[in-house]
Amino acid sequence: MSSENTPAITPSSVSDTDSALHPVEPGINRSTLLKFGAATAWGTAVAMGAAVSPVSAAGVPRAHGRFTASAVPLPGVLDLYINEGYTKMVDDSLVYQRGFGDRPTALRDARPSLRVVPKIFTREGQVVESRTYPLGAAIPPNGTPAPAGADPANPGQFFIRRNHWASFFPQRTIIVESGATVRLRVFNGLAGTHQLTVAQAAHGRSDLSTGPIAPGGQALLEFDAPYAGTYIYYDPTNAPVQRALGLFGTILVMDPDDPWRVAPNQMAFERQWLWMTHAIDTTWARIEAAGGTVNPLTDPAVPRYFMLNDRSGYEALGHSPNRELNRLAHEESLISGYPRQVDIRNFGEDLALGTLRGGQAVRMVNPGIASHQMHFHGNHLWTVRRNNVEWPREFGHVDADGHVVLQQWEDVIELPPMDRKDCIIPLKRPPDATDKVWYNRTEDWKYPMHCHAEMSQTAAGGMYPGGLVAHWELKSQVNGG
Amino acid sequence: MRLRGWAAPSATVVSEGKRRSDDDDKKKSSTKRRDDKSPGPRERQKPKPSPSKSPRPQPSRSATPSSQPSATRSATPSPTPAPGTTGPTPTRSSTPTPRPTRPSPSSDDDGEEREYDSQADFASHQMQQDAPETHFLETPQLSVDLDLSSRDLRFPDGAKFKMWVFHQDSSGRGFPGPTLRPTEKGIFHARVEPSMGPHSIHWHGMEPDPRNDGVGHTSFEIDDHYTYQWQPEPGRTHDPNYGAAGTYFYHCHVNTPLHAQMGLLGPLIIDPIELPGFPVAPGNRRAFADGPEYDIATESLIMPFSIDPRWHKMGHAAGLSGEDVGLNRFEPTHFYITGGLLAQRRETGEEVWAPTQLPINVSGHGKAPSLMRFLDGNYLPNKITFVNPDGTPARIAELVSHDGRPYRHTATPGAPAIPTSMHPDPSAHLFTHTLSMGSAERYDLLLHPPTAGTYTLRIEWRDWITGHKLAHRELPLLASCVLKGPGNQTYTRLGPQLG
Ligand SMILES: [Cu+2]
Ligand SMILES: [Cu+2]
Repeated sequence: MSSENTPAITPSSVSDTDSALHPVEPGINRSTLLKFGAATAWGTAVAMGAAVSPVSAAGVPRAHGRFTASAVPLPGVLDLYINEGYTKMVDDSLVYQRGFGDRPTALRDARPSLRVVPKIFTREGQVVESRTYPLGAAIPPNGTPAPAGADPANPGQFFIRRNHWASFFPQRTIIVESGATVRLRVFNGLAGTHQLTVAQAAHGRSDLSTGPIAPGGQALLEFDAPYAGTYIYYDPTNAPVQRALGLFGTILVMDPDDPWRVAPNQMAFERQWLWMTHAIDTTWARIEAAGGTVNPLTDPAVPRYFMLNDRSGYEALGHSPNRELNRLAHEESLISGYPRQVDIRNFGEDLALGTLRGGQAVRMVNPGIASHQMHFHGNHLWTVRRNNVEWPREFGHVDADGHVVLQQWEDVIELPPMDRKDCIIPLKRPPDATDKVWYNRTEDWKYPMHCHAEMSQTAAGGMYPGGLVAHWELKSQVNGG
Repeated sequence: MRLRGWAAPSATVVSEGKRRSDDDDKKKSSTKRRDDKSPGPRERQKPKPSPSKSPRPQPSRSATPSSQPSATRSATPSPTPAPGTTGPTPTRSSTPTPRPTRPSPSSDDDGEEREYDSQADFASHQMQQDAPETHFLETPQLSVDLDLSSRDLRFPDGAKFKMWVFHQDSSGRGFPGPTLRPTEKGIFHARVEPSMGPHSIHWHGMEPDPRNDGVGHTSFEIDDHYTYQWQPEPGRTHDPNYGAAGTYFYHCHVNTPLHAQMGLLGPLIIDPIELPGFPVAPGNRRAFADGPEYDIATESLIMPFSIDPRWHKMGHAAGLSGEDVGLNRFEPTHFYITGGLLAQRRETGEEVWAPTQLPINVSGHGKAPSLMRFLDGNYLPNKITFVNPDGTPARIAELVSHDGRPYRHTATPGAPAIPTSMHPDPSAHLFTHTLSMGSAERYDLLLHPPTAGTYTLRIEWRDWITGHKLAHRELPLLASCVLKGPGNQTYTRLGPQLG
């Protein structure tokens, strides 16, 4: 959480007018395309702290509701608002959370903006709001990519379309195309000091940060897209407390010239899934909601809710009475696809023109505070990289920590806090089903994914399976039979 | 097929004990005690809304977030049609055009499941079936019967805990459950008849069809009995896409946090088929079909396990109806190294299988190396270290497999994927003195101590949130060149340490 490598904070390089907050006129809809053309001329990351913040300068102790309207958007800049509010847990209780939102909202807002709707920084300098990427690619119905056709050599299996399907992304996702410049303007609407840090996104894997942003203040952070992969943005203040309260998200860097690969020259995939895990401690939330400061040593975290892409239990599994919620779970989290013949020596093979012998990519990101063990039933996953470092395919080693550095099959993927893993789920025929059962399959086959640190399988102390869960599904050709 | 409710919130310890006192006899009688079973849905407890301790926001507008649980609808579950008793209708598997998935918000993808009113409704209404049918039953090469019992078992430190254990008719009532050891390619059957309420078995790491995967919310929990059937995929020479041989475990997948901690798990090892070109010397086995040979007599399973005594006083449906039973808090106070020499395991009596020391072979003295199958059997991260007789780190462990899959070189498409442990270049081999893992991971290690002497396996438990060390335990590894036979008491005192 060190910010020693952060760019110099130069408040004087930003004029006061740049920082002024102008109410947005009613009717301006920021929810679609934010197309501002070329970026303004910011040379480096800049931040404005208390020195230029009228609110903190005036000594206003709390800033709730301070930002009653969005600032005037700047071209090529994504505005993030540090908000607070109450979010509904899977048992319908309401828990205080903070987050980086799209618009300023007040504490008592019925729908606080605590998670950014997915945005894309394009190489052309635009900021585009879109739940799917690549832009313009076919949208997989209900999240499921349809195959190109049957694989005659492998009964019950299919050819997979190459470079075709878009992927859905969950809230909190910021996609950055390689070659793009990220420009974030962060507004702190809360009473305490906060900051936005992008872990390991600078050269040498050091952090990038706005530096502390005073209450009511704002900061600008500009940087070039780092190497392809996943990066956690979060508030490192009093770590891990502010992160655990919800101040986190993921930046996913993709090469727009080859957006169906985990990274350049790495595995090709049919579509990808971004999974963020999060564990919520309601005691921590209560302390901070009341204006207190959690001491993580004297108040050790005891998380009570465990989320995958901000859903848990039957809501994460798409079994809730809320159909909209179920649809989002299917599109963003619940892996699905048709079975295919794969050879892990060659994910991405062009079997016939336009087809792919590959699986789907699962990018697991843990900005939370618990060490998760992501267990898949039905298929082992092929782990390709950790924290954006490619694992070799030969001559691996065991690192000083005791972790194997070599691409490998796993049915449990270790995901400690702040870790990211990129894996391929092959969506292959489950290997230990008998031939007769496989060849007579008439239904979709659904398998659980869950964290095997079983405390995470609860909600409010019980209600198994109420925590960090998902399904993945092998679709059948005679669907819905 | 039907949905049934769980019993009322956690039974007291007393009633649990009473109910289980005769569990071993129950399956012999034709009248299985129904009063042990959950009441029907009409009797189930309405889930309690969990009161929010957080202050409610005061919504400014009408868009109030639903802060109240929605009223429970009719408690009668929508009956779901049972699959045909003769199994699914065979279809031409080469149907040319798949029907693409339609986004159908009106029903879940398979159309069979209902939606649930609340998380408590979902948790307390997992799919349960009395006696589901095994589709396409075949003649097994290995068949086992498993039931479960409740026993107060004494652990190596003398502490006694109520444990629920899987057992066979012939076995004792010990922990962990019986070691199951099918061979690749052979049909495996496990007939499970749980005496105490609905349970299931998930064959962790094995990948059969969902009906044989043992999870309530993707298939069913077993009320009366079911025969699981699967067939471990055989390995192929230098092919990274095939082969099941390796280390697994089985565990109950009903109210899993509680049931696995209560002891409903056991070792599952898949032995390889024999491939042409990979003969096996007498006394040896291969770790996987094209993998290295190891010495059968000194093959071990080592499983760290820890116990939070508070969890061992709950009823088996604890928490499912929405009550807060604190299953998010696993605070173990007792830490154990369980397992031992596989060839020496006695599955009799009521004991905890735990080693006091372990014999291993010195490298290069005519014997194949010893294989240690390591399984993180609890819910916390483990870090293990091998230590030399002089106290320095011992780089004697060679990782050969993980989660039932060998480590291989896979850089060249179409080229043989040589296992790292079989590679002619010594630098390909994955040697280490230390290994980090978390819950449910398995690692197979060949041990190569260079000289005779007492090495140490040190196992640390770490907090799953802070990463702080919670405890450690040590196991002496006695490296010897002239290991005697199984009768050598020096090396085979592996029973429970009573008192
Ligand atoms: Cu499982
Ligand atoms: Cu498991």
